[in-house]
Amino acid sequence: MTNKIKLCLIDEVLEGTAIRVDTEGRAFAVYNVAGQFFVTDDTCTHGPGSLSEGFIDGHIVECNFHNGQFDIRTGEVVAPPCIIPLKTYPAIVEDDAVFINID
Amino acid sequence: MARKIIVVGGGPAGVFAALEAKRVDPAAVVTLVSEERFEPYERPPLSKAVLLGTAKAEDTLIAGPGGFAQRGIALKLGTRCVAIDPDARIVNTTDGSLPYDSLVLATGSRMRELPDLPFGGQNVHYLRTADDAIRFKSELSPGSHLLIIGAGLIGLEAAASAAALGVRITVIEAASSLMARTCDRLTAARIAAEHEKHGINFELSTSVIRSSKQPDGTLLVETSNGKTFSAQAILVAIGVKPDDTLAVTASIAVDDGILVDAECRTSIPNIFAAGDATRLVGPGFSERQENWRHAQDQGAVAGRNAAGAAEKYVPLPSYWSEQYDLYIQGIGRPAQNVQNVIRTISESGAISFEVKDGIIEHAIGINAQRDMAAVRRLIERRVKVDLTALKDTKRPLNALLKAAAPAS
Repeated sequence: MTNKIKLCLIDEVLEGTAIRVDTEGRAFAVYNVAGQFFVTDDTCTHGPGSLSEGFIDGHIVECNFHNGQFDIRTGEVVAPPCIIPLKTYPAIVEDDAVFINID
Repeated sequence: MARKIIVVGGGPAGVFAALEAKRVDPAAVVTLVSEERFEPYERPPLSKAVLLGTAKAEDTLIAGPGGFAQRGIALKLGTRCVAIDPDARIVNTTDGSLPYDSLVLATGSRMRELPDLPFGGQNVHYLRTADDAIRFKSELSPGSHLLIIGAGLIGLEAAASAAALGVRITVIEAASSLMARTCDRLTAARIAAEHEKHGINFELSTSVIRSSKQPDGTLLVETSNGKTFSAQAILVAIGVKPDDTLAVTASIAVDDGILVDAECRTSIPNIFAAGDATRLVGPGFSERQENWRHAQDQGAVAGRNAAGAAEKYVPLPSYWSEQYDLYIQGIGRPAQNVQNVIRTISESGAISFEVKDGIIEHAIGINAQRDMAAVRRLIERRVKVDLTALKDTKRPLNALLKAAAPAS
């Protein structure tokens, strides 16, 4: 069953940055790229890195532990050492807040 | 006919060569040959999580679980390549001969050995493979005394891990400071202080004169500073040298490393090389590197070129290390006649920059992960920086990068 959860207010995520949201026992990264919001798992698929603390260049996030990169729109690996794609969630913006559907 | 690509070596250079060769030429028959019995695994955890017992080597596979099979890359494990016949384009292995159209040598490095404390000696350890780590870990018991020879990354990481297991540790280092090859004095002192806080004893500017085995099985080691140490185990971590033995069988040009150009080509057509095993020679420079990122990136270029591309590899040295709660990242090349600038980020976090003519040549960050991606780009792009801005944490490094970027 899908469950719609609220992650944060849009004001909490400055443009060109990301924040980490811990909820439902999981950690998500919420990104703001030029006013558009994206959500992925926060933990890098390779190591211990927190992607919300990563380096964001357009739609690419670079993990600050071992410099692997993902496209935050699709979760696709852009640069190794990451091998496994990142889980992404369509961001739903309603009432000035960011929501996602989770299973 | 499908192109046959053989990659020799199961480290990151070999793995990324194989993955990228297959990606560029999906029709190619790609085979990765490794003499180890495990599917290619990450070596960095061997001195950290594997020693601590929080991970096993086989849990940290470079290509991910089933990564080679999923991509249609054949693995030949437990197989050593013994000779290359470049005229016949055949690699002879301990398990038959393999014909190739393109060959990538990612044979890595071998550990430097101390003649008095040879590899395989009782209570004497070297740390390079999963099997080395398993054997070493089995001898680390709380309260025992471990002597580590070499205060480079491996020696220091092993010290931090062994200390967490309750082992007493003395580190003997020939240089006058730790991580002497890559670390400025201030940063080295900061790292040394953290080790000392955890009870590690350093003997710097000191070397081993002789060692002998006692009747009770312990080792007695005499050092150049007139001291004698008794230890239950010794770890020798004095660096590595390129493994070019296979290349030599094909008369490939070597000189402290398999010589390669920017396209990772060796002196023999259709034979490429990457990683620790190589020495990159270009106009006005000749450089060896021993770090993970280099192996990954050079390996990827070698693999793509072995599959028909003609890309150039541009190296930028970098490494990371974990010791206690310190996450250390180094980027760039230590240089002479530099200005040292420290950016203090927090109580535990700082970046030490070496700047020459306004350009950052080298930087070491401790607990500065959030900034190091920007630092890498400042170094890579040779951005002219203002020293006051580098020190001032109110001025984000990202902003320096953006200010330098051409308007888009």
